Parts: sequence; structure tokens; C-alpha cells
Amino acid sequence: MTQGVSPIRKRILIVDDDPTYVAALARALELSGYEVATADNGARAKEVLDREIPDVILLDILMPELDGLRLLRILKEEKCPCPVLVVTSVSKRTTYVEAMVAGAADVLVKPFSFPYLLKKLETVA
Amino acid sequence: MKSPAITPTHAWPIRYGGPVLLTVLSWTMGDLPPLREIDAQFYDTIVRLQKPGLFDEPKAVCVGIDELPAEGEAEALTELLVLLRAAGSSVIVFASLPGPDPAAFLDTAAELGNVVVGLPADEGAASEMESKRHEVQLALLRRYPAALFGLAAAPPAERGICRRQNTVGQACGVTLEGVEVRATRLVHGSVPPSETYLVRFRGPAGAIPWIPCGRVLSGEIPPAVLKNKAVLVGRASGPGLGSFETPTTAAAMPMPQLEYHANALDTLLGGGAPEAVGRGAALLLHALLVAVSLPAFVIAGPRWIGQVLLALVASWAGMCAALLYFSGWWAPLASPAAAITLLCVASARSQALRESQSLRDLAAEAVSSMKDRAAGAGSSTRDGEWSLILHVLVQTVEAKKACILLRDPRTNGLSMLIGLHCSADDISHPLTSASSSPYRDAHAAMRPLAVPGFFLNAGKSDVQHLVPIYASSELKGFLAMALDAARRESLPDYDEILAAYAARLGEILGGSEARWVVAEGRWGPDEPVDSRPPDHVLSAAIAVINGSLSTAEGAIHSVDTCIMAFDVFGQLLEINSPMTRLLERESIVPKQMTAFDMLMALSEFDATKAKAVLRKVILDQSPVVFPCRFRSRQKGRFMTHVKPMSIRQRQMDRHDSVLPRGILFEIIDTTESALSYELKHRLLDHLNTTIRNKLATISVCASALQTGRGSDQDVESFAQASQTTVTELVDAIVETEQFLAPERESSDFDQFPVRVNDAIRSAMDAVAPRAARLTGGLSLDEPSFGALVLGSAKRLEHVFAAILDYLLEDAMDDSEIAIRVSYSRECVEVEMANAGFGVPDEILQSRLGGASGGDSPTVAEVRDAVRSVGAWGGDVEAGSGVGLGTWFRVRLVRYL
Repeated sequence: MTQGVSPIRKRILIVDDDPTYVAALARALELSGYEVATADNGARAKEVLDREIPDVILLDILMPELDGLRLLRILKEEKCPCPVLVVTSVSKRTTYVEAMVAGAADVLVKPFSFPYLLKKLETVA
Repeated sequence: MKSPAITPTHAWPIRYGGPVLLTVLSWTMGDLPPLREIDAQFYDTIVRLQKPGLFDEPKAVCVGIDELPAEGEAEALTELLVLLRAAGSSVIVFASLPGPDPAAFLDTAAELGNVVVGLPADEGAASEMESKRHEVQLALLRRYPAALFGLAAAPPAERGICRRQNTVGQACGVTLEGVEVRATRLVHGSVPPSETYLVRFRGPAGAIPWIPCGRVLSGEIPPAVLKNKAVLVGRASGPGLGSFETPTTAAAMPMPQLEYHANALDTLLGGGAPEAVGRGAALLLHALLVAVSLPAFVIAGPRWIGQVLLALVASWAGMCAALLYFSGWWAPLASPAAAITLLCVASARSQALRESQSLRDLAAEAVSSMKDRAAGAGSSTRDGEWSLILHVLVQTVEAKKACILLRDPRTNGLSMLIGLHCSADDISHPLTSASSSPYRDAHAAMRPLAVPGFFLNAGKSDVQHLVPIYASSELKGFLAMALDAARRESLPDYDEILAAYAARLGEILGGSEARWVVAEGRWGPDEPVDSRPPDHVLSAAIAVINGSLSTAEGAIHSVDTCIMAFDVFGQLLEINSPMTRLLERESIVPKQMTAFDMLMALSEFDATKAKAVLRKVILDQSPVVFPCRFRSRQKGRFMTHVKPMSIRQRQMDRHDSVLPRGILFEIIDTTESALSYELKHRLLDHLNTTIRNKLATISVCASALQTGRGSDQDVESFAQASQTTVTELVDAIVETEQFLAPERESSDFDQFPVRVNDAIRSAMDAVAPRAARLTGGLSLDEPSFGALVLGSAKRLEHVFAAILDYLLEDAMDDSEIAIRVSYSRECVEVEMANAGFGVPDEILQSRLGGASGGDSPTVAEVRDAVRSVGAWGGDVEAGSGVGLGTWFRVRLVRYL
């Protein structure tokens, strides 16, 4: 599902396989002034990214087909200029380290407070 | 139980010398009259059993001349001679010279040929009449050819029974061959080489045809009856003629001498005379029989040796009978039987001695074993072990100095058995008498006694104790120890510990003494050897004792867990089979190790930590548990429990106290429970992730609702999303609870959320040795995070291993096997493919469908794997092409 992108609003790509979460987060971000695109796994996200680069990517790790860490490594290899905010439910320190090494701008562990997410987006975008 | 120690070099004279001696002895005994008589009786019995019809027709007949008057005897005999010759008799033997003038008769005999005339044998002192007869006969011997005369002597008798005939004898002072030999020589030239030979009797008296001469002279006898027969002519009775008992005659009917001669001649002419086994052959038979009997007696053992003896003697008698009956060989019976009997007696005696010795060894060992088990450190304690014991003791309580003083019961003096960090010179009190202070005081107190300054060069703040050691209420010596005061303060039960150690030392010292007494060949300290209890009583007593001990041992050996027990001094007491096997696989030799060594081997403790653990177990009586791993079972999980063994005992001060007796090591295999824990842990991990995910949704919705932005439709959407997420969350928790229920045992793990990645990696490890031949090996492409699927952890590994094995068998050497894992929301797919030879696809499908019989084990495993995956709700696809290789796609239901 790809939403229309306004040139004046910051564009965010949400990559997560939980449709309820994606729908809620996308609408909440839109209401907060962001333009949002979504993908339910790494492969779909890659297709979107091949067409246009968003300002921030909110990337989950545990996903079917192409998982978040792999996509992150691909983006790093391709020198994608878009900052990636990893949002994951895996709270292990090793995951944090792996994500940062793979090129994440930061790691957010679910559940997070929405205002905190907005702050982070402002920081990295 | 040890067997009597006879080394091979010492054993051979005993083992082989005895039987050789016995063989020679019994062989020479064969000449003893009683044994010869037994053999003779046996011979007679068998000969009597032989039926006359067994032999061919008699070669000899007798013609009786008892009816002839003395006058004209010579003429009648001459006529008879002519008639017999005319009838075709092969040889004619006249048992005596006809009287009074035999010249014409002898002339005719000499002229006709094949005639032998018997002369009587010389008998003792010659009378005048006898002398005259000698002169006449000598004149005849000179006048006529010597071949015409033979000796007609009575046969030799053995205890009244005649069985033989002599080949030569004396007549008129001249050596003459017997008439039978002379006649045989005339018929076919060969005669027996020995001086005597056994006669083969046709039967009782009368068995040889007896024809009165009147019938021959009157021509009544058809010539065919006499043709080719040896005819013996003589009287049945008369002066100088006897009758004889033979093996075949009845007591009331002895055999006339003429018939005896006829039987003897018949024997020589017929051949196949019985023959006694020669001396050399008899010796060989003795040796053979002894050689066969000896192992038979050994194998039979004391219980069956009598029966074996009877069987052997009976067998030998049977063989002797058969030999004589069928082939005419007379083998000795009595002396070999005597040899076997003597051997039996010797063997039984030897076995009894060995058993007796074994019983004594058993007694010594049982006593020793008893002491060992009761005393723990063992009654065979040697100097090195005393040192070890003291070392452990010092290490346990961290004593600065310690020594064991031994009391000599004869002099009551003391001597130092072993000392650590001290010598006898360091003791301030003389050792000359155990009755002097402070030894007397400690003995009177019967408990640890504080003796300041006992060791000359101990520290000023050191606490020093003297503890009496008793065994069977007898003072054996003292244990002296010095340790730092601060350390003493940290050990509130120090006195009890010292008392316990002293009690154990007493048991060991008592045990050592008992061992020594038994080893010296004395049953008890004051009892002479002869007062030992009878062996059977001892045996019964030992059986009872062993039974009791075995019950205790049985407890250790009957449990499945690995158990071993050490004495408080750290020496191994008991170890069960599972523990032995486990340690063997790890090349750990427990019998060469102390408890301290074992602790170091099983744990990752350093020496200080290991000592601290031992102190905790022995002194604080507290168990210690630590995990351990073994090389031989890399995937296994083990916990070692080190527990104190103690007994509650009324001590010297009459208060109940707990005495440390030993240390128990128990290694428990926790692999199954560890797997259960691991699976449940991962499931919780998964639940944690799910909860975090769902909470993130709820949190976003709550924030959005809180801000009040958005339309009513947005509000409704957020509320709906929250509600949906809560429902999903509750479902996830409920499902997880089912798997985490405590009543779920390992057998329920056939259907459990398991990590597919772990199973794949384990399978790859399992087939790695076989995959080594592939240049490309095994390559794995998998997502960063493993997903959970429903299945059995162990079985899932087998599923992948079976498929990999199939692909390996089919793969070319210069290829690789590629494994790719991918997830969708519903399932996990594992693709495995080789660049192999491949088979037509229909064959592969047929194999997987199980249609074809006689598949290889690998194919059967794959088919099982397909069935397992189906049982978990998944499926397996596969395809193959010749020259293309084979691929499998395993789809497993994902646990969300």
C-alpha cells in the first residue's frame, strides 16, 4: 500500500508485517503531519525504495521473506541516504548492536510512547 | 575373590609331575598279584562269553587210546598211525611213547613224516625208575631225528587256572619244543616267538572232538573227519597225566591234558590267539588314560568327581572287554583302573585343598572388605595413604600441624605414625608412656583435650588438642592437632569434628590390625590356628556378612544415576556402574583419585575453591551443586551434587552427634529437563516479542486518541485497532499458557513451538562428516531471526538430517548442497537442493510415496520425515531430474 507523498511534508516509510500496527501508526503519523508509505516485508520495502527515497524509514526486524536486518545491510551496501529507525520488539542488546552495525540511525524497542517516536523522527529526519 | 597364587613356573611340576609319577607307579603295579588276578578273572569272564561258533571248525581232534591194553600198544599205535596218515591227517601227535618197545613204531613214524611223539617233562628229583626211563629216551633221541620228539608237558597254572602253554621245556635234561610247536612247525613252519602263549579254548572239556581209537582202527570213522586235521593221540587219564581248570571249563569237569594240548595246537594252527598287550603299550595306555582323566576330574569338580570316576572305570572296562572279545587283545584292566582311582583321590584332595585355601582367602578378603567398608579408608592403609589421610585432615580444618601417635600395647609407649609439619622432636611431652600426662588426661576424658604447648614450635595463638583414638574400646593412640585460634573460632563444632576424625582413625587402625592378624595366619589375637571355625561354618558366616554388605552396595548399584562415595579422607569407597561408564568415557580413573581430585576434574574450580567446597561438605554438612559438562556428551547437561554422608551416633560425651562418614558424588543427567526449560524459555521469549508488538499498537492508538486529532472515523479506527490487538494479545497469552503448563512432560514435546533454525543447524552438524567430500559443502541462507514452528525439536532435526543425507548420497563431489530458509506469516519454508545425479521424477515420487519396497535406509528415513512433517500440519515437496539433481521443500506451520 503506497500513499501519495506531499512535497512539503516529511515522508516516512513504515516497514512491518503487523497490519494492525502499521495501519494505526501510519494514521497517527499522518495526523501528526507526516506523509506515510508502508510495506509488510523487506522485499516490498525494497520495491518502494527503488521508486523513491523517503526521509525516514521505520523498520521492523522480524519479518517474513526479507527481514529488517538484511534490508538494512542491503541499504548500507547501496549507500542509501535515508536514515533508518529500527523499531523492534526484540529487546536484546545483541539485536541493538547488530542493527547499529548494519547502519541503523537508532533503535526503538516496542512498545514506545508515540511522542517519543515523534521526537526521534524529528532528530533523524 | 582371588584364586590361590600359583605362578606357572611353580605350577608345572605340581601339575604334570604328579600325573607322570602316578602313571609309572600304576604301570609297575600291574605286576602285583592282586591286580594280575583281577585282570585274569576279567579275562576268563570275557573268554567264557565267547561262543564256540565264533571260531571256525577245530583244526585238531583227539583220538583216545584209553581202551588199548598195555600189551601190544606199540603195534596198535603203529597201525593207528598208518590209518591216520592214510586218512590224510596233516600232523599226528602222540602224547606219549608206546611201551614197552617203541622202536618199530618210531621207525614207522619217522618214515611216514609229520609225526610228533611227546616226551614227558622232567620232574624234580629223579628216581631210579625215572633215570632208567631217561636213559631209554635219550637213546631214542640220539637214534631218531630230533624233530620227531616234542615235549608233552602239563600247562602252567596261575592260581589253579591254566590259560597258557609253554613253547619249550626240559625232557631228559634236554630242551625240547612243545608237541604243539613241533606239530605247527611241521604244518606251516611259523611258531610263536615267545616262551609262552595264550590258548584259545574252544569251550569246556569235550569241545574238541574226541574219537576212541577203536573206531578208527575198525574203520568206522570216515576219512573226511580226519582229513587235514591235526590228530592228537593219547590217554585221557593215566599215570603222569592230569586234568586242568581252564577259563572255559566247569569246576566239576576239568580238561584232560590231551585235550589241553589239542586246544593249544588248535590255537597255533588257527591263528588269532589272544595276545596280552605288551609292557610298552600298557605304559602308553596308562599315560593316555591319566591324560584323559585328569581334565575330566578337574572339570567335574568335587561334586561330580565320584560319578566321573565310575564312568571312566566302566568305560575302560568296556573298552578292554570289547578289545578282547572282538580282536583278541588282552589289555590290563586293574592297574589303569587303579591309576584312575588314585588320580581321582589326588585330584579330589587337591581340589579340596584349593577350596579350603580359597575359603581362607575369601575369609581374609571378607574380613578385609568388612573392615574396608566399615572403616572407609580401608584396613590396608599404607604409609602413603596415612600421609594422604593426614593431609586431607589438615586441609579440611586448615590445621597448622597434626600427627598421629600410635600406642604399643606391650610397652604402653607411643610412637609417631605420621606427622605433618612436625616430628617427634617437636612434641613437648615424652612419648615413653601413654599413661603419663597429658595422654592419661586425654584418655580419661575420652574426648578432645586442649593441651597448650603440646607442639614445641607452634604459634603462640595456636590452639592445640590431643584426641584419644580407640578401636574396640581399646586405646590405640592419639591424634594431635594445632590450628590458628581464629580458625578455631570459625569452627563451632571443632571438638565434634576432631572426635569424629579420631573415631574414624580408630576404625582404620583396628582394621589394619585385624588384617595383619589374618594375614599372619591367625584367626584372632589369642586363638591358635587349630581353633579356627570349620570352613563350612566360616563360609556360612561370610555369606551372611556379604549378604548384609551387598544389600548396602545394592542400594548404590541399583540406582540409575551416577553415584560414587568417598571416605572423609577422600578415598574412594564405592562407585556404581553408570558412574564408572560415564567416567571411563571421559578417561577419568576414579580409583586413582581422591575426592579433591574428582572435584577438580568434574568442575571448573581451582584448588582453593575445591578445598572450600570439600570443607563445606564435610564440616558444614552442606550439599554443593554445580553444573558439569562432558566431552563425550557435548549436548548433554549435567548437574553434580556433592553431599555429605553422615550418621547420628552417641559419642564419647554421651550426646548424640552427627559424624561425617563420607562424601557422596551424584551426577544427574538434566539434558531432558534442560531441553524442556530451553523450549519453554524460547516460547516465553516469543511471547515477550508478541506482547511488545501488541503493546506498541495499543500505545500508538492510545496516543492518537489522547491527542484528539482526526475525524470520528479515525477515533473509531484507533479504538477498533486497540480492541483487535487486545484480543490477539489475549489469544497469544492463552496459547502460550497451554504450552507452558507444568504438567506437560517431555513426551508432549512432539508438538511444540520450536526454532527451525536450531534444528537445521543441528542436522547440518550431524551430516557434516559425510558432507566433507563435497567441495562446496553445505551452504545455509536463512533470515537473521529464527521463527518458531510446531513440531518436535529432536524429530525436526532428524527430518532435515534425513533429507540432507539423501541429497548427499545423490550429490556430485564437486558440488554443494544449498539450504534456504524463508518465512511467510503462515509458514516457514526450508528448501534444500543439490547439484546431483538425480533420478527420473516419477521414481522419486514413488519412493517418497512408499510404493516401492526394499528401499535403502536413507529413502526410508526420508519417507518417515515426510510423514512427521505431515503430522505437524506441514508438507514436503520434492522433485528430481536426471543430471539436474534433487530438491526438497519442507513447509512447516509457523507458530505466531
